[in-house]
Amino acid sequence: MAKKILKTIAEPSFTAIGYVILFLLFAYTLTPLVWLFITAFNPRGGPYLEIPKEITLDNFIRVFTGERGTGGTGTAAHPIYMSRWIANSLFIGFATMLITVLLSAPAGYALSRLEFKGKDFLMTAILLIGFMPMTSKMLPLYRLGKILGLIDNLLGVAIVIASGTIPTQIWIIKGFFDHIPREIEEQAWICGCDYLATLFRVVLPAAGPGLAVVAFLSFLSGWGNFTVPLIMIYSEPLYPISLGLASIFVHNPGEIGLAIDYGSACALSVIYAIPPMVVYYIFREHLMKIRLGKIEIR
Amino acid sequence: MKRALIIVLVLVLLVGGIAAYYFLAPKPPEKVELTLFTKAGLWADFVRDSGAIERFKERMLKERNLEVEVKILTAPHKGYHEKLIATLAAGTVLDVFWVRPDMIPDMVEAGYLLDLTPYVEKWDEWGKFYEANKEMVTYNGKVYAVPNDAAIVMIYYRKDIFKKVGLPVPWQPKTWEDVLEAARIIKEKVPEVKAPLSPYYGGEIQIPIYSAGGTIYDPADGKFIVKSEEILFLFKVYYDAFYTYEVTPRELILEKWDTRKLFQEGKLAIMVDGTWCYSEKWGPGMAYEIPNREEVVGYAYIPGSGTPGAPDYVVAIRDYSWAIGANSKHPDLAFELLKELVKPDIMADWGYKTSHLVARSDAVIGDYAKDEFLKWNTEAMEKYGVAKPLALGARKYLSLLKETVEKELITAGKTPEECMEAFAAAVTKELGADAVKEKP
Amino acid sequence: MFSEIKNWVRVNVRNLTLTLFMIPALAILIIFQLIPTIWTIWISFTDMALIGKKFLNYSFIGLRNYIEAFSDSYFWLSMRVTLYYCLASLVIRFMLGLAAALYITSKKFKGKRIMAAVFLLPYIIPGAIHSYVWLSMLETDYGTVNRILVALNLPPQSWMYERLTESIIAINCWAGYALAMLVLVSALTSIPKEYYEISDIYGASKWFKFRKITLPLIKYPLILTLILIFKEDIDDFTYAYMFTGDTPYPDYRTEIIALYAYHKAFSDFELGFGCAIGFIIAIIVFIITLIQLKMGGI
Repeated sequence: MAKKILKTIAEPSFTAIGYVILFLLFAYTLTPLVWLFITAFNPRGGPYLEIPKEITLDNFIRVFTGERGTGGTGTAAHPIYMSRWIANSLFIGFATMLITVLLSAPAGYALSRLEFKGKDFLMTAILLIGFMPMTSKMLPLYRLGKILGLIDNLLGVAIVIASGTIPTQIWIIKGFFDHIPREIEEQAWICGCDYLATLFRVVLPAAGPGLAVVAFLSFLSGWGNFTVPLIMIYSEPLYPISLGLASIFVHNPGEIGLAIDYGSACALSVIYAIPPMVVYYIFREHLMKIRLGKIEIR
Repeated sequence: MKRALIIVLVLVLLVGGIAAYYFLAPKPPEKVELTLFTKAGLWADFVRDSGAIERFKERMLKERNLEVEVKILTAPHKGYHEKLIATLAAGTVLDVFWVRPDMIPDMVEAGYLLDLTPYVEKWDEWGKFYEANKEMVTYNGKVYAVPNDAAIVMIYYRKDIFKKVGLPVPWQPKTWEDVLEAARIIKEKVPEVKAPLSPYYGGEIQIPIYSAGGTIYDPADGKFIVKSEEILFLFKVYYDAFYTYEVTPRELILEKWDTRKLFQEGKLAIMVDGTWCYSEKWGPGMAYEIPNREEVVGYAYIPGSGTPGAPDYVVAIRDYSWAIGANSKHPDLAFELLKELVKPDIMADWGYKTSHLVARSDAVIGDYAKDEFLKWNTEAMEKYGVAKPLALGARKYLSLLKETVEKELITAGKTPEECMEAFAAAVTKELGADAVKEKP
Repeated sequence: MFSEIKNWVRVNVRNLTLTLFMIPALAILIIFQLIPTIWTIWISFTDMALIGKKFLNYSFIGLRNYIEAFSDSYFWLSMRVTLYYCLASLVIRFMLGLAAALYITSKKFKGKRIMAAVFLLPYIIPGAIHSYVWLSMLETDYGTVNRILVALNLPPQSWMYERLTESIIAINCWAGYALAMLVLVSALTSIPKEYYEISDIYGASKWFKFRKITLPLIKYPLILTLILIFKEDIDDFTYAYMFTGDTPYPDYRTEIIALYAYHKAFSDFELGFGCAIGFIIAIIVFIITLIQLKMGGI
């Protein structure tokens, strides 16, 4: 009886608490972005949040036409290359995605299916191989890139970023392959299917969500990476957006730097945020299939 | 016989013609590529738009029959020096690059920089550069870079606050006591001023040593001075500001307050800062715009200590310069490019656009010469400018000085004497006992 | 007999194919991760500096960098900050990620797709933007947070100084909790629902289902998430750097260990020492990863 009363009181209040937490989480997630989106449409935006009197699309137009802003006598950078930066970032993002998926999926599958001595060691080694902080590796990486001719080369940037994402992606994809029952492919195999045909017809479709996660995460790391292009890219027409933004926002006190054109910088940032969302939208079905109503963890 | 003669004649004519053509006809220009490394954005844009590279190309084609291609390489402002050093350390060839002069000694010792002395000796325009600016790029008697711009550090003050409390405007303090006293009056009468005085700019913390007529480095024996009356004077000035007069709240340093913004809001009355603030921070359209800037912002020289032997005023210079890589394959071409980059009209244009000072006397022209503020700055630099000594270890010495002021004096609240002891110990430990000395 | 040989050939062909699958990924990892790492470790045993006389005339000094680091009081100060930062980030990121994942997979709350997109927003927006966005939030006088606090009649806080470490943790968690969410949601949704249906038939309790079905099946991604989060936190100093600049605060309040390594290698240009700190970080990550793997029984 007491249990029943407790239940009738507790369930709705749990839900209420759930909604409160949900609201707080929403506020925490979204408030910082308000400034970005408002300033992108503000003709005279500044570093802090202010509600504009009028709304304009000029900032976005400037990103693509490469005209100078009107505010101030001079701005830290003029947006001459901005549209190229977007193309470069897209290239790096998709190249990283392709390289990572093409290399880590087979490796993850092999590690999932093969049994050999020292497999645990190899798995741990793969995970730990890149655990030296990036900044410490800067000089060796630069020299290596120079030897291999990858300096000032977008493909080189993608390869180096991919080499950093591959270890964790191998682990993630291996987890997905582990979940695919071996019996499926063994049956197909016994039925006389060619081995590779089995892979493409049976295993790959089953690993779809895993591949989507890997593709999405590697696209993100390629698209958003700052350190690797900072080391390897020299020409402004080859900058990705991350480097470009760093050359627009000049904040260091005591150093030279003219006013920042916040409007076009925020517009570029908004544009910068869109492709990951599109890629997310494409993969969302695979990323998390919201069909498991049956799991209740509470 | 006749036929043979004709054949010989034809052959001779042919060979002669080819030879004549080869020697007399205009040669197709040889192709060369130079690399120029600078900061992305404003800096690289200026180089591209200034016309210096076009002029250089034209001149090379005319004078040397060379078709030169200048490739502009860049790094974002944040992380520029890291990338420059990493690039040079990896052995990449950079012909011309933008460099901060206080890095020169360390970069020379690492073998990155080309000695430009033979080039500037043959360059008639080198004499036009200000002595102090030349000093800032000369290390061990050799020139390693050519100054591109300059800036000075001075005292800014709020004229409106000064008028409110009855202090004279325009104002020119004669000693540091004048500065502290003015700040004390403001603290007493205008309580809404959060910080009456910001006594130093982090990059030029050594100024009071020069105010007292001292120096940090003795070029005669190549030793750094770690204990002297003048260094004690520096710690005393800062101690007075933070504790005796209490005109600078410790949080200003500890919390890294944005002094330029406080000044804009009138919450900071007197501050030591550089030329660039006037336009870059408070100018029209800038982040901390002060609308009636001319009526509100006053500027004055940093005073001497008032003791005999001390200078009347101290003007510390900062600047940027162009250097040539030691492994450059075409050093003379690179120097020709460098000459174009620092031509008077281009330098004046850069100075006017970015609120920096020119480094040569014949560049005070055009819009630059018409600007009141820049004119005042240029005169100050010409009259009182002192260059920081360019010596191996000076960068470390100054960063230790800043560290001592911030850790020992401001954070721990030690007395000037204790601070000097701590500073001397730190420098001796870092640079070695043979590199330092005490001045009686 | 014939079929045995045929089978033997098939098994070996399969194993060979699988081994070949691993080669490209391993090659990329060795070239772009292992070689720079070993190179960096070698540098850490020298007194190489990037500028000054020590660039050309450096010498092998054995363990002296490490001894110097361990006897340096600033190193330990930095370790303390790191411990606080990493532990707080790990817990908060994981809890937020778990909460978000539960919202998305539960059936009670409406609008899951939009919720998922919102939760992912900070994670998919590139890091180059985060700094400026949060600067507009945290500034003492004009920052959005303090303006909200004032509007709610609460005392404004000094986010940029007194609570700086906490601010940085908040930014880090904001940017990163979606990673935990992503992996957890994928894991939760990949559990075949038949398992629960079967256990429902036997009348198993919720706790039993969680302990015997959910936990074992999500343990692997769980451990992986923790490792990923920890690695990111200890490795990435972007947020600490943007609120610190080129010199540390006098009391090292933001100087997490990766930032300390960076300051040593690129502000003081003591590359050997910086690389030694980098290697110490790698060893810490190594040990903690091993502990986590052992605890997970992987």
